Amino acid sequence: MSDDSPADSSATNRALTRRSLLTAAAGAGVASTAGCAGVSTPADVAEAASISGNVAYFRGPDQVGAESEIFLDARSRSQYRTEHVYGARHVSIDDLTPQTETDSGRVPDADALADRLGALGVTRDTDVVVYGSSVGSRVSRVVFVLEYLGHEGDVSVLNGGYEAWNGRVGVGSRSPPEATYEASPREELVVTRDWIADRLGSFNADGPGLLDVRSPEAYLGARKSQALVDTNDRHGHIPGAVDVHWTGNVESRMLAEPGTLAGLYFDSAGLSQQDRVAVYGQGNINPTHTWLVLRSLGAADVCLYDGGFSEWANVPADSRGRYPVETKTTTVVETSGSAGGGGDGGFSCTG
Amino acid sequence: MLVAVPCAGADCVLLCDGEDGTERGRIDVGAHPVHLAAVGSAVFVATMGARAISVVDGGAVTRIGTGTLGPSHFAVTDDGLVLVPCTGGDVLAVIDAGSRSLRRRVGVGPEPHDVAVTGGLAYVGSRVDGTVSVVDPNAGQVQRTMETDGDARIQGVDAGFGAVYAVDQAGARIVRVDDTGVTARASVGENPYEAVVVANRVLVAGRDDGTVTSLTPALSDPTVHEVGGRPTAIAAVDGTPWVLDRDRDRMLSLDTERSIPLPAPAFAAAPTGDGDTVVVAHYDDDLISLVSTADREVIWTSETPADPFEPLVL
Repeated sequence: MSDDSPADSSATNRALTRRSLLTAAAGAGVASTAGCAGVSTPADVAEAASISGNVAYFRGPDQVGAESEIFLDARSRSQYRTEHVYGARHVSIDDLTPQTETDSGRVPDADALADRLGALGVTRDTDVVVYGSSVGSRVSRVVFVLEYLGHEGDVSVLNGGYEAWNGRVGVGSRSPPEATYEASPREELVVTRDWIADRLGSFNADGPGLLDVRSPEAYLGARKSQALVDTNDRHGHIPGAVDVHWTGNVESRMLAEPGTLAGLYFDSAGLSQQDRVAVYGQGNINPTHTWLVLRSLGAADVCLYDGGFSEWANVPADSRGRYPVETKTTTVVETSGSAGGGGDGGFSCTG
Repeated sequence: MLVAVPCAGADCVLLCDGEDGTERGRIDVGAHPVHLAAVGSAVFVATMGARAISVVDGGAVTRIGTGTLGPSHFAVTDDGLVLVPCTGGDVLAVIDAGSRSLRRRVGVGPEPHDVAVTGGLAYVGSRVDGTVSVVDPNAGQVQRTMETDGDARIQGVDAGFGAVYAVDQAGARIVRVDDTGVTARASVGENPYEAVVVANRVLVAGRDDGTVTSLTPALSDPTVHEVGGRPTAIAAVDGTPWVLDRDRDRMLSLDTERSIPLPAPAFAAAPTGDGDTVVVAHYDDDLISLVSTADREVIWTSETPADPFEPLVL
């Protein structure tokens, strides 16, 4: 314990402080970062990705259709009944979203997902072609589920959707022969709420990438944006996330031009093709589209936060400090339309 | 005397000699520094453009992650906790000043901007939902959340007279709160930002209508001073309130209505604690000045890096 009187202590502190400041100004600089980083947009990606037309899963109608392949139709059931690729099996998107609770947050329910695929007659080594009305998130969710369950057969997406199909068609529906899908979940394809919470402050800086695929209005938690998703207790985004609205991945019914997408993600958004990137949306369907696009563009380690913002925003009130929400940022990457926000007085300390 | 000035547009803290304004150095502290607080021998820097604060101590700069964007202000508890509202998010970061580490984050109303401590509790206002959260910093728990008005935008929260005064910028109101709830409300001038407690009055500048409203601690008996211009802040110098003007190059005594010419409009100020002098930041002109209110003259003026905020005098 110090013997100094409070006045002596104060004077000593002031002298130490003055000396400390002057020493720091003389060039000591940043001594440590205590596991944190600034938030300036890491947009200056000198090593922008080189994409050589490899879009992986996405294939044209003349590139699919081998007899060994099973087509999965991810459109609505009524569309399927009206007309579908001959022999295709209808997969309800609602069947591919179940989750299970863990101590660290929600994850895909592998058993339920495997049961559903087995009911469609899909086994782990089946070659699968997935199609929808276009190449949207219903399709990508199917692909994600297959990959998450450790699928060993080929997985393709019919680029252009059903409208692009010029082969044999079928109508009506019939029950496919059931099979047993032996899942071997690839846990590295998902991250949890706590995985994210443990890395706050590092995303898109000195840690992994974090990508929000929702609309800019939802991402910024703009005033009145609660009308977009009125089930969320809080609005905004996970701290540090960059926003690229997933709908920018698609042009008409096709995947957008790969070079444009590469520029969007690896240049404008500043993501690394080599480093880990976690993707999230409101739920667990739309973000799989960006997950699929990034994998198709050659990103080495893309994972999904399956719980999504619907889980993060609605944690109990006394847990919000561990799972904070931001409403301000400088890292919205515009794909189309307005970036939203505004009208709230801005992000400043000058008033 | 050493003057430290966070320069938001240059990501640094400027050091000046208090005697003549000579620059003594610059410290890189991270994105958009806006406020400083002396805690023991250290200076804490709120870097609003980061998910971290910076601490200058022992001649070095250390960063402490908050995990959430926008550290904007500081309050320090008696037991050494530094409280930091993260105005880009929805949390109050609780920093242990001794270990220089984040102890926890506490969820509060969205876009908390300012924090005040009284009676061992922290009061944090929300820019979005107009609430004031009352936080027990040691327990890391919100004790209660008070609604002020549905459309309120709480900017400043300032302690005084055993209570906290929350300024509603959108509604041009001031609200008195304590741990029992809202105890008084009053209208003030347009576009207020913060309250200043001087002598036995609570003062609030109305930036858009050129007024300063003076109220009792109970927020009664309002007197509206029509000072004109764009009164941005009020500095209490030796017990006298001086009005800083963002549009006009002068500072005005609210007591005598006499003014002191300045080299540029003023944005923020810090009394030196040495009688009647005050350091004034001219945010829009990248200058700071030392002003004697007794002699009604500017002693020195120095250029600064971009966007000087409120100085800290050591």
